Amino acid sequence: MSTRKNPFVYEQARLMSDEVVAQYYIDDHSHGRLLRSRRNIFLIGERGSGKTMELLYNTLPIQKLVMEGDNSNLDLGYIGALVPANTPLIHRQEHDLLDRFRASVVSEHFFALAIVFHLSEALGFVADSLTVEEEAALRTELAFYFDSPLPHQTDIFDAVCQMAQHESIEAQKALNVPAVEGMYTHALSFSSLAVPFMRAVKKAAAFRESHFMLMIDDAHMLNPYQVRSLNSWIAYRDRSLFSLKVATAKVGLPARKTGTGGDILEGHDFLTIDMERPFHNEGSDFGKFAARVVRRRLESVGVSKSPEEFFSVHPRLASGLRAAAESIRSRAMKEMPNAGNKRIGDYVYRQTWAEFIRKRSPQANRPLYSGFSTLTFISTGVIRNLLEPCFWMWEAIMKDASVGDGRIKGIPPSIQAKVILDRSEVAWARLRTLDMTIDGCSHRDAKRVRRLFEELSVYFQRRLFHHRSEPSATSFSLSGRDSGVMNQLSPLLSIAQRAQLLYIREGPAKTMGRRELYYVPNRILWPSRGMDPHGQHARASIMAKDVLAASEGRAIPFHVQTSSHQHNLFSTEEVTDARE
Amino acid sequence: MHGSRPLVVFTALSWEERFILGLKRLVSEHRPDSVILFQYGREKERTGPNWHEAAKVCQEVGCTMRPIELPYAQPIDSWRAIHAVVEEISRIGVTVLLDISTMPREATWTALFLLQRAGVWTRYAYHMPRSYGAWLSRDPKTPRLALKLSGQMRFGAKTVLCVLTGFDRERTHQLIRTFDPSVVLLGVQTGSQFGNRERNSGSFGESERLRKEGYKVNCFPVDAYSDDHGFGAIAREIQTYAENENILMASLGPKLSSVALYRVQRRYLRTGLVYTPSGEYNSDYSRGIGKTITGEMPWMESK
Repeated sequence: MSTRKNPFVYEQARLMSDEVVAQYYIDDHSHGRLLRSRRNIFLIGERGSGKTMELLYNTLPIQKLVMEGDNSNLDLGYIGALVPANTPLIHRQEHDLLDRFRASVVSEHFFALAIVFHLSEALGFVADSLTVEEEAALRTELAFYFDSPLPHQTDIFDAVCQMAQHESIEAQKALNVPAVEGMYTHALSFSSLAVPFMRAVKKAAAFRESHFMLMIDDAHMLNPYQVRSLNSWIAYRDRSLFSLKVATAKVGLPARKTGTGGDILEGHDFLTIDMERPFHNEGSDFGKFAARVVRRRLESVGVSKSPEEFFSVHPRLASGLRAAAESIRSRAMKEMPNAGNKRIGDYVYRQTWAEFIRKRSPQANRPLYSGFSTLTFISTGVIRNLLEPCFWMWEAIMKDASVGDGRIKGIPPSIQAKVILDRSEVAWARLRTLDMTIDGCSHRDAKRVRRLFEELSVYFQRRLFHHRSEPSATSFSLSGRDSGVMNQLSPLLSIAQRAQLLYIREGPAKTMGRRELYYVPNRILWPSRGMDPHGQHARASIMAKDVLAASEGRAIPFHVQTSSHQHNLFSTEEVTDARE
Repeated sequence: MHGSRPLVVFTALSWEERFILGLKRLVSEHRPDSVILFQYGREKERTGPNWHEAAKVCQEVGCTMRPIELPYAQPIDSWRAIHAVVEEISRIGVTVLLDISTMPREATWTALFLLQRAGVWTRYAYHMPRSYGAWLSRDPKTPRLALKLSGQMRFGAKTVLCVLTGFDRERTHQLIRTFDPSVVLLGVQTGSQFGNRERNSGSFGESERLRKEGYKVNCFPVDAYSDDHGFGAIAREIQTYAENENILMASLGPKLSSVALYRVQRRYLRTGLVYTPSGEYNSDYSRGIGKTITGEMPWMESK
C-alpha cells in the first residue's frame, strides 16, 4: 500500500468522509458508553480535543458503516444524528431586528428545522426499514405537522429533508425583506415539529424501541435564544424519546438558563465529559489513547510499526537522558540512603529532564526533541496537538525524493526535532499576532499576553535550573485571587485560552478535598526555549498579582533555593497530582 | 440637483485626508443639495477637524450637511439609522452619490441595498489615496453576516468562503476559522499599485498551506480597479457552487471590490456577505488623494 497519503490529517472531522471517520476513530470506552445512553451529555473541550469525532462516530450513518464492516446487524436502539451549529445560518443577525418574542420564535424555527433535517438525513440510511404502509402513514402524519403535503417523488426521509429545507429558505427570504421587521409567520418549533416527528417515526415497527440522540456540535455558536431553547429541551423530564449530546468549547460555554428562567443542573439534567486530558505520560489514559490513535493512523497507510518505533528517540537525546537519570539516581541514593525504590524512582522521574538540561553546555544547540513520548506530552492532552506535528513531519519526509515507492519506515529523529522546533516557533509567532487572530483581542491586550508568556517562560526556566524538588513544573495555579486583580487578569488568560496557548483545568488543591483551577501553557511553546516539554504533574503556585504584573513585563518573583534551606529532595511545596 | 431630482451625497466622516479632499471634489463638481454624513462616535476625537471642515465646505456651497450617528459596534442600530434616512429621502425622490472611500463596507452594502429597494438612482465614488500606511487596521472583531444580505443558507450544504484578500493574511485566516469552510476561494488583487505585488506575494504560498491542511483552495485574479471592479471574475468563480452550496463572500482588499461583491450577491441571492469589524484603525491609514473612480449602480434582476 502506498504511503503517499498523509495519515495525520488533523483538521475538521466533519470534512472527512464517513469511511475515514470510521477508520480513524478510536473508541474511548468510557465516552462511547456514556454517549450511547439516554442521558443528556455535554462534551466540553477546545478545538481539536476530539468532540466532533466522538459525536460523528456515534451517528447512524457511521454506525451502519461500522456494523457492515463487522458483518453485524445494525442496532436501531440508539439513533444518532449530528446537528452542526457552526453553519452560515447561525451567523444571521436579522432576528435581532425583531422584538425578543419574535426573535426567539424565529431562532427556534431554524434550530428545530436543522434538527429535523439532520435526523431525517440520518434516518434516510435505513429508509428501507419502513414498510410501504408505514411510510404512507408517516407521510400523512408529517404533512399535518408541516401543514403541507410532502414531495412524492422521493422516499419519506428525503421528502422531510426537502420540506425542512423549504421551510428554512422561506423563513430566510421573509427575514431578508427590506422592511425593518421582516418576520416569518409560519414558524415551527421543537414541540410542534421535531417531537411529533420523532414520535411518528417510532410508530413504525423497526423504530419502536429507538431512542434518538440529537448531537449538537459547536453549541457555543448558538445565539442566546437557541441556547435557552436547548436548555429547555435538556430539562425535559421524559428522556425515553430523545436525549441531547452537546459539544461545546470551554470558552464561551453556553449559559444554563432555560426559556422559563430556570437552570439546568449537572448531575440531574446532564453529565459533563471533559475532552481534555490532564495527564499525558505513557501509562495515563491519554497516553494510551494517543498511542492507539497514532497506531490506527499508521495502519491506514500500511505501516505496522508501533508509534514508539515510528517516532524513535534520537540516540544522543536517549543517551543524554540516561546519563542524567543515572546521575540523579546516584545523588539521591547518596543523600537519602533510606529512601525506598519507589521514592527514588519518582525522584529520578521528576528530575531527569531538568538534570539533562542543566548539564548541557550553554553554547549547545537546543535538545534534539524526539520520540513518541515527547510528542504525547507536547500535545498537552489535546489530540489535534498530537496529530499536527506528526502531519508536518510526514510532509517533510514526503518531500524527500529518495522515499522511492512511498514507503515510509519512520520519521528520523532529526526531522522530528526540526519540526518540533518549527511548530514551537510557530506557536510563539502566534503570540505576536493575537490582535489579528483572536476576536476581541486589542493590540494592547495582545502585547500584554505576549509579555505574560515571555515572563512565564523565564520563570519556568529559572525553576528548571534552580528548583530542587519540582524543577520541571510548567503549569501553575493562582493564589491571592483578589477580584480587582482577577478582573484585569482573566480577560488576558481567556485570550490565551481562545488562542489555544493556554489550557485551564481543574485539579486537587492544597487544602484537602478542595479543587482548584490551574493553568497549563501549551507545551509546544517550550522546545524553542530549550525547556523540558514533558513538564511535571506539579504546578507552581504564583500570586495572581505577579502574573498580572508579568503582563506589564515585570519578572515573576522566584527565589533560588540554597543549601541553607535544608530542602528535602523529595518535598513538594505545591500539589502534585498523582501520576497515573 | 440632478435632472429634476435633488442630489444627495452619502459619505462617511474620517480623519483621512482623502475624506475632506474627496468631499470638496464631489461638492465642487456635483453641487449636491445635501450631504448625509455617517459618523462614528468612537472616532470623534480624530475626526473633529474634518467634521468642521466638512461643515464649512457644505455651507460655502449652500448645501445641508446632515450628520447621522452610526454606532459601529451595534450593527442593528446602524442598520435602522440608515434605513430611516433612506426611507425619508426616497419619499421626496432624490438621486444619490455614495462616496464609499472611507465608508465601512457594511454601511456601503446596507446603503446600496436600501437604495436599490427604494428604487433610488445611485452612483458611487471612490477616491484612491496617494499612499497607504504600514498597517491599516487591527484587533478584528467577530465576523458577521451583513443584515438582509445573509443569503439563503441550506442545511447540509458545504460552506464555500470567497475572500477578496487584502494585504493582511491573518484576516483571511480569521474568516476561515470562524466559518469552517470546505472550499476557500481567494481572490487576489492584480497590479502593482500601492506595492500590491510585494505585499500580496505570500497569497499563493498561503493557499498551498491551506490545501495541506485539508481545505480545497482556489486562487483567482481579481481587479477591483477594472470597470466592473471584479464582478465578472467573482461571478465566474462562484457560479460552480451557487446552486448547491452555501457561499459566503468577504471583501478585504480595495474597497471597490465591495461594490462588485454587492452586485454578485444581488445576482446570486443565496450568497451571503460577510463583514469583519476592526477594533482599531491606523491614524496613518492613508495619505493624500489620487484619482476618483465613479460608477453607476445597475439595479439588476436577481437569480
